[in-house]
Amino acid sequence: MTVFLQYVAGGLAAGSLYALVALGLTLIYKTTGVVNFAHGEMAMVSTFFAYIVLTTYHVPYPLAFVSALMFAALLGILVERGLMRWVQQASVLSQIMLTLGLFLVLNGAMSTRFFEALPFPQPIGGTPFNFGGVRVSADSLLILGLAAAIMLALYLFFRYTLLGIALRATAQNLTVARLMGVRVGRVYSTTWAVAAAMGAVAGMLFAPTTALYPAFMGDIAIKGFAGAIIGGLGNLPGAVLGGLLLGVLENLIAGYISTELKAFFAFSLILLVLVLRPEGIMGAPVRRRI
Amino acid sequence: MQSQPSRWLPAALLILAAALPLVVTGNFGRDVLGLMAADALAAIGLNLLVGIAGQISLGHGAFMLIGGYTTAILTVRLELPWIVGVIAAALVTVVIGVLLGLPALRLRGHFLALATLSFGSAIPQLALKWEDVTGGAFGLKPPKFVGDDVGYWVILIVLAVGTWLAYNVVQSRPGRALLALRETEVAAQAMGVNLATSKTGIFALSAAYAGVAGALATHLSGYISPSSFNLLVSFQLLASIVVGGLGSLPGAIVGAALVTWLPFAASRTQGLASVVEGGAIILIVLFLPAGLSSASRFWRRYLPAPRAEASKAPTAAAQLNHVMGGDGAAAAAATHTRSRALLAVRGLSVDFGGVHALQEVDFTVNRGAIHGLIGPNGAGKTTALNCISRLIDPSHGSIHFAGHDLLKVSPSAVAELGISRTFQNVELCKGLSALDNVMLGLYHVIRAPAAAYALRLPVARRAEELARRRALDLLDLLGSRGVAGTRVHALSFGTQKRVELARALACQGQLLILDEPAAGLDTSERVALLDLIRRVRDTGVTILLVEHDMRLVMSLCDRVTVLDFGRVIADGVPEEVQRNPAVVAAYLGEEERQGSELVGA
Repeated sequence: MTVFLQYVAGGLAAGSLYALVALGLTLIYKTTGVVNFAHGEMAMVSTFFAYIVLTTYHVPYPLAFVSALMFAALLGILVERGLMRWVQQASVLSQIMLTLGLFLVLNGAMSTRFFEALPFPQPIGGTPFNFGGVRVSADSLLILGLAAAIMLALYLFFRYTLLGIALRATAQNLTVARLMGVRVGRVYSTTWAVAAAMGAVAGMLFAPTTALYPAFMGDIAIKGFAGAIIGGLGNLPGAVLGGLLLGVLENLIAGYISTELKAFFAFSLILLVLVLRPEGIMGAPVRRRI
Repeated sequence: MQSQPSRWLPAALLILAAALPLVVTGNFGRDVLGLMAADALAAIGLNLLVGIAGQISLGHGAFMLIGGYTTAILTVRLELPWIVGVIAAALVTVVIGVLLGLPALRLRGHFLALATLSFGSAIPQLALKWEDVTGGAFGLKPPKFVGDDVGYWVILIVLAVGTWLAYNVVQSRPGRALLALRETEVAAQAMGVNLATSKTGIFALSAAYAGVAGALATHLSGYISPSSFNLLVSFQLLASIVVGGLGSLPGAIVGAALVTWLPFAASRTQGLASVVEGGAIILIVLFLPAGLSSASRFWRRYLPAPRAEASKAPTAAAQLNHVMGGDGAAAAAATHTRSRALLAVRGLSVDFGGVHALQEVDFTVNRGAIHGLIGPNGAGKTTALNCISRLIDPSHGSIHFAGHDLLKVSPSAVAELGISRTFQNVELCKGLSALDNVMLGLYHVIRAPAAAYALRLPVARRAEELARRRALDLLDLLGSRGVAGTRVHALSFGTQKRVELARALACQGQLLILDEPAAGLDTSERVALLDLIRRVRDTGVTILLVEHDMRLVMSLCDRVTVLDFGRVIADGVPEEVQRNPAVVAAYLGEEERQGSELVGA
């Protein structure tokens, strides 16, 4: 039983990272209708920013963390204003190609400068807590707490604030929202800024466990997609649940069956959910349009 | 089709490619050339899927990996010759392509992109894990091609054949079906294009191209591992076809050659190639949106403007009979059996999330009749038509057509049974020429086996020529021959309506459904339309007409069904219906409301 709980705890720790990535993806999809395939790479660049600030200017960790969040937000705004705004009305294929192009540019640009895996500090570190035999690190708890807090904040924001309602209106009908006086451009920029910052949080919390290199967000970004899809693309609580569920399931598979099957399982799960239940576990049915 | 100037472009490219070994020397250089050719083959396959059929695959590298491993396993473990391995690679990837095509039946856009992305990520993981067979991370070392340039030549020949096949497919009936799929699935189905077979078919074909390309590249390098064709390769293939121009076959070859060559050219700075590729994609998407959406421009030269021969064509009813493929016998048969029901709608009900769009609707369309379906806005007329076309599933009720239960067949089978239609808002393939649209209408009328089209067999060429001539005749009949070569989105709404009508006539249905054919037409055009509808009926075709123009309906129809708020409020001959108090109330009531609004404003 302890072993099982240990797997679940480890799964929740990884899953909360997936949930963070999934939240960012979902936020952008929910408001702008775009799936950002460069989400992981934007987070990767932001994490490199934190690394550079930490190593060249030797600032304290919290300061580097916050500055990386600001950098990520700026990057998000830049991407939205500079690229995505121009294909908002274009075909889905154009939107996909644009974020794929961004993926290649960001990944390639970082590869020109950083060749080897770099160590990235943990936010807290120290010895793990012991809950009746189940060991949980302080960092895992931090990630879990952050994911929960961000999700709660987003939920309240969408539910109760004027801007949140404006965002939902924009997602429903762009033209009407615009006519009602919603400043759609600013809404979109804000969305991208917040989503990119959430990605950066995930990147900085994930980097200590692997090391920092240009492709380090590759797997976790796709698992973020998986989480978002399992929860129902566009559903915020669903994204968190989906991410956590994926983390736990794949950790159980790694523990009881085989470690190498872990990634294969995650990727096949996307296919399976998309084929069998495209609306995910929480989403509303995908309606067929004529 | 006679001369296709664009056909020479790939031929010239291939001759150029064949001459390249004279310039490029050394084993390394030759291997790079071979890889470029292999990637070009994969890019052509991907372009058929993405550029022509409008589907999305972010994981095509996985098919190259599957193809590569198939031949590697057969040649290493079973010591079979490489040619067997390559053929097996094609077969295996076809099967897996069909399997990946199945989700595409339900998924579109971003969802399909995510599904294929996860496929592209899962396959390398599987190869990594399945060590007993694949050799795990160490990979396999299949035999290289024997002889100096043999590999390059083999790949070049396969590329030439692959390009030729792709051209033949794209420029004939199967290609039209794929393009229609990209432009509007609704119209494609209404013309008899089967979504399931077309989508899985193009996934399979596209996968086979990638699979063969992967197998050939594997024998060229003599090595394969899970990272040989990873997600980045999938993205580079997409970059190739975007750079070369979506839907353009020569573009795919050039694009793939550039994208494959780039990392070698920029090998000093790691990552530079990705930056250039990604940057190119971004610039093209942002600044050449036409390059993304209007693919046909790249590969199809339009027909010249109509020549004088148009005037020689026979006119009026005789020609109509000819182009509709009828010979008067059908008309004779129709007069004998005029009382027999052709289409019977019984108890048809449709709910849209609590809104009752149709409630217990009954009506019968008799053979050879012109049947009007009228009613105020929102009465449910188009909903009823969409049920007959199988675009909407009714909550209950039945629709029988000439002895067939329509609710049991697919939308494309409806067309095959003999129902053709136009749409209220015109559902044409906007990126294609008017001629192509009408030829699409002949999709299930003039056909040869798909393989015959791919191989350009005489039977397929004759079928194409026949379809082209008949489509031109139909356009002529509707006075639109002059726009045959023009892309539809450049045409006025009225002309689009005529092209759509020509397409519906091309289907040669027993039942022609017209959804507001007179909307947007001026008076003289309406008179011509009235005349045309009568003449079409005289060839033996039954017509179901939805129209707002009451004068047109009353003078044309043999029988009229009136809908209001989803219910049938009257059914009978026009004179009867016009006097029906319920009908008068429904129409006058509406006019009164409109009147009072006007006064209020």
